[in-house]
Amino acid sequence: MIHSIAEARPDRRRFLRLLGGGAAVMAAGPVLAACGADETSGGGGEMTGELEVWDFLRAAWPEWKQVQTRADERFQGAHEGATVKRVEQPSDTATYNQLLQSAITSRSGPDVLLMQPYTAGVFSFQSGLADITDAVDPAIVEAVEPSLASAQADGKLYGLPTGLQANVIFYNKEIFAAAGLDPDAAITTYDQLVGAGQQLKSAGYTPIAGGNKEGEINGWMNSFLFPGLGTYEDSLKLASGEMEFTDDLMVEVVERYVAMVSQGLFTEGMQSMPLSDYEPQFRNGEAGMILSLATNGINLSGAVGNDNLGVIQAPGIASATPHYYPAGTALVWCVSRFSERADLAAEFVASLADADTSQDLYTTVGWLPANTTAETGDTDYPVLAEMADAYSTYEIHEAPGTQWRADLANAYKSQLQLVIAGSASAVEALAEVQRVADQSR
Amino acid sequence: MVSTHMSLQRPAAEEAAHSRRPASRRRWVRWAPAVLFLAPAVAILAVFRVLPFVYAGYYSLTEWDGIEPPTFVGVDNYARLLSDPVALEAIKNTGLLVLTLPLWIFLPMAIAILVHEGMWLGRAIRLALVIPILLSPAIIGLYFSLVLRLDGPVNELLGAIGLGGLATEWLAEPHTVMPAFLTIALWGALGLGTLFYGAGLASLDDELYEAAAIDGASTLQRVRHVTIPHLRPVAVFWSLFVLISFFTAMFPLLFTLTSGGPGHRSTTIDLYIYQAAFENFDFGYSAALGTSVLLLVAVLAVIQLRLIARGDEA
Repeated sequence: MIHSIAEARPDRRRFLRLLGGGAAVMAAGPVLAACGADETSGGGGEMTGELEVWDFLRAAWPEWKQVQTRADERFQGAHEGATVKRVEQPSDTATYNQLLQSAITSRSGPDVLLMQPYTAGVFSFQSGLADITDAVDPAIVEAVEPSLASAQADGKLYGLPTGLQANVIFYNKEIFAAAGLDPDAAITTYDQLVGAGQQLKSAGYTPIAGGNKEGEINGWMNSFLFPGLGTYEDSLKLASGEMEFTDDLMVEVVERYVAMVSQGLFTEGMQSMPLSDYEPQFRNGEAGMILSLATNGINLSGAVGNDNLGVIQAPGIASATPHYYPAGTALVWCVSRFSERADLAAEFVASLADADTSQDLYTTVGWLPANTTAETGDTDYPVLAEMADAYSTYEIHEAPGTQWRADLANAYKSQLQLVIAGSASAVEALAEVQRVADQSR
Repeated sequence: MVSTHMSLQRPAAEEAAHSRRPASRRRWVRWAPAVLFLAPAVAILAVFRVLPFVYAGYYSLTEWDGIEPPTFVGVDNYARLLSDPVALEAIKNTGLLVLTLPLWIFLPMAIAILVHEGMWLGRAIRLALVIPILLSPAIIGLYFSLVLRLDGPVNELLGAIGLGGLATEWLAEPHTVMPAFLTIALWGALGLGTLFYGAGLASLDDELYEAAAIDGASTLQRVRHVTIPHLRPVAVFWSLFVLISFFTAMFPLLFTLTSGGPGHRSTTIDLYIYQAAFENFDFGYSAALGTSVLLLVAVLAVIQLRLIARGDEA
């Protein structure tokens, strides 16, 4: 038993011996690390056998599961000797990314992965993904071409998009009418949006439901408001570093958003409410509008009534030059670089992005197709048809901010929290984002 | 009886052979069982504790995305750490926690003494103190993120007693987030600290109290001269435990409570290590942060032990 600190102190010789041992292990570290980092990777591989597919929507979304099961059956029917094994993964992005990281670092894991597009997924893991350029039917690549930026880099194709995603505002037509607004009059400008919000507030409704604890709304509002102020070229310049974050254009985007917050146009207490908690406000009729994702349209239609749900697209896009719709890719199917059946996996990925699966996703899940050959006409959901119609008129589907690196996107979200809290000005916050951008380069 | 006695006696020939064995072999024979018994535990510790430290030290000198072979960049990551405002803010926030260390040491000690002296606290309150120990920090974080929302019970209570003007988004305001976090973290650790001190007090010999009573010591004098000195080793252990926790164990609570926001006003160094690795995919830099924390904690622990040792000598 040790009775005092002095007794617990190791003698000098023992300490030096320990230090020497530690140094020896430290020296061995790089050697051990190098052993673990061999360059083994899968090649084309066998065209039969089992494909392991990681799918993080399967457990939480029954309709998604139905569509994917049908796609698996079609693929297995067309590829004798090939089977598909879906593995349900957690839908939480942070947890899923950790699992991906572990699998890819250990050169093991699935053959096919469902991934977030752009830097949120594909580009952060691109060194663990296979280039499928030569392994997929060029016709499929051509069909999804307007959305390929989400999975293409340095002349390599790392995956195929499943559908389109955009930030839109859905609204409840009955609440609009109750607040004295014309529910069928299209809101196409920022001023009209703010005016509608103020009128809803005066009528006692929460204008726009939103939960921003994680800062996601900050990023979403950038995608929503930027196109009305900046062009597609501006968006690309910002991503490439040619335009600084402190540019007047970005300051204006932030100031417009913060003005909406300070006018009380979002849920009271939004900053401490998680993103997952704000939807009930819209569903139960407390809020007239909700900032959401296009893929959520069918769910909300079910809550407030198919004919009662309207959609407001990003204000100003009709007059933007060139015409570009602020829609990113919803999700991307990728092939692991370490798959032993990489060619078979690439064919499977192509089948998940083909017209049949895209069409099925559209009608069953309400997923807007990235595949331009998929039919989008018949649907029970007017709001879905309206969005599909809008997307089809734009050649470029690229939301601003989707090209940002993960650390930049995180910096933007967290800095805007300070602007909203009144602890920083838009210029100060954007200067900090610019610092992170400079560091990234 | 005789035979037993005989068997315990080393025969003369064996004794002679034993004395001819080299000293090193004799030592090995004596230590072999201990080494063999310890080997599995040492191997597990080496693989799961020592090697990760070694790897972290190596990766901290590289730029690594977690997939491709790392690129050696020397001490660049450490230089970056010194000029990274987020890292400095995280260190500052962790430093704020360190400044509150006396509170973490003496509050549970005071409660344990009150319980021991039978002055205060019924069973229900004792149970309430222990409950946080049974809860995962992640659950505590989720729970308080609901309680402290603008429409949560804390603000409703303030409104009910006429202090509605004080209602705020406690976890979203830059000036309230750290005090709120500190209070919740302290609440979460209070039961464990009280339990440790309680265990220390349970070993206190009643005769010491009786002797103090015979000497006419008041309750306060008894606490000051008998109870508190007896708790000194527990306090040393507990303070080291808490100090290390400030640097390594705030993550699960913070992750669910504030995610480090608003901005980085509640980001502590262990949360930032996670964010650098798994949100920004900057594993080399994250390893540099981790290695720096390891060294910093070691230095602080040595300083703390020295200060305590100096107190002992005085």
